[in-house]
Amino acid sequence: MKLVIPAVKSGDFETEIHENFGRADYFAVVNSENDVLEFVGNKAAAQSSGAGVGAAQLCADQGADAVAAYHFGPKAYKALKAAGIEVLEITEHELIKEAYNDFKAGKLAEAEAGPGGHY
Amino acid sequence: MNQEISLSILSGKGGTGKTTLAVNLALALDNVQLLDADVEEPNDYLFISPKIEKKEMESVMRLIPEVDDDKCTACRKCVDFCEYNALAMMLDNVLVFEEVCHSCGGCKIVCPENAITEKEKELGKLRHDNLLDLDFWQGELNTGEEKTVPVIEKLKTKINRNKKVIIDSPPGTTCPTIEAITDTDFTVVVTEPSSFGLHDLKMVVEMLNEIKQPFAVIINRAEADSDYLIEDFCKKNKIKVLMKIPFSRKIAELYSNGKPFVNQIEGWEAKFKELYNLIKEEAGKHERNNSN
Repeated sequence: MKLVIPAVKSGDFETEIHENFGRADYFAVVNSENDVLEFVGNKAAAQSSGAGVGAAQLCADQGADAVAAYHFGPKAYKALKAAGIEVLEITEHELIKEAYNDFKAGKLAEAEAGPGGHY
Repeated sequence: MNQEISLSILSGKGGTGKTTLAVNLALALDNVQLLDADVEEPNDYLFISPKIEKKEMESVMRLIPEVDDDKCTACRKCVDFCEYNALAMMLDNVLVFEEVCHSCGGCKIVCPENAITEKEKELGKLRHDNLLDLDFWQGELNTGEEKTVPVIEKLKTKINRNKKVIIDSPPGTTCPTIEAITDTDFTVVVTEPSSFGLHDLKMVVEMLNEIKQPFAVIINRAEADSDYLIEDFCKKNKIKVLMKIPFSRKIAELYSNGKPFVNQIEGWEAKFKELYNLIKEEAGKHERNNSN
């Protein structure tokens, strides 16, 4: 299973989660079969519009099975769902490893689509 | 040169008094046309034509792509082309996000399979009411839509240059504002004597200088002990202050009851008439400078 989590930088399991999905600078892509972690830059972050859709496209292109973030806008949510990607909510987690551990333990709840834009 | 001029009313910050000025000025003049271009939140109608929803209406349409899944080969050229992320490729299906589409038609052109056609969608509305001395038009963006410029463009096609034209612009310094003020002879910037007012005035002035639009300032909610905030800035930058509308409980109360104060407080009709002549004079100066 491949999990994608928005990240503030290209780092490691100790890296902080980005508060935004579409405008996150990087995405942490973790393979739960071998615990291998990779980071990919999010070019949608700097785009004038549709960052959520662009970020969802990136997740789909990475072959993500699940995406976990604090918040998903309506367009990102719709795009991820259309790709058959599981959309999960993280709450008080701060670091990539915290969200990843809870993901492996099956503790992340399904997310709902929230309001779009900056919130 | 035309006998009458067109002017746009603008502010950097919302809530400074654009509506107050636009409505009261329009009601003080004759042979006037007022166009409310603040299409995300038009509110001149509250004072001019409260029942405008029952008056004339026409739709503003735009084109959005529609993908024929049978013809689409998931080559992804359209998705890669779209700068605005209005298209996404999910499990070999193209998804269209209508709200972010800029209606450029590029996806249709790059599609090698001719799988994309365009369909019309209502983006907004124009509303119209013809009052005694006042021809009133309003642009209105539909809920959920994001692109205001096409509505403003359509609204501007209604401009009648035989009348005194007043355009109530959207606040700020971005594309919708620029669309609303472009082609008007003169811009009046409404501000208030506060730090926020000054900050946003500076942004507007920078934008107006950039597009070489002639303008002057009106101070709303003017108060003797704080007007220096705006006046010092205007003096330093050689910007004319055309008028001050005082910070008055009476004006605020009338406004909150939907009553333009020009009809209610003695002397203001004459002041606004004079203001129009002053603006015309200023616009004329600029015209002469340009032709030199």
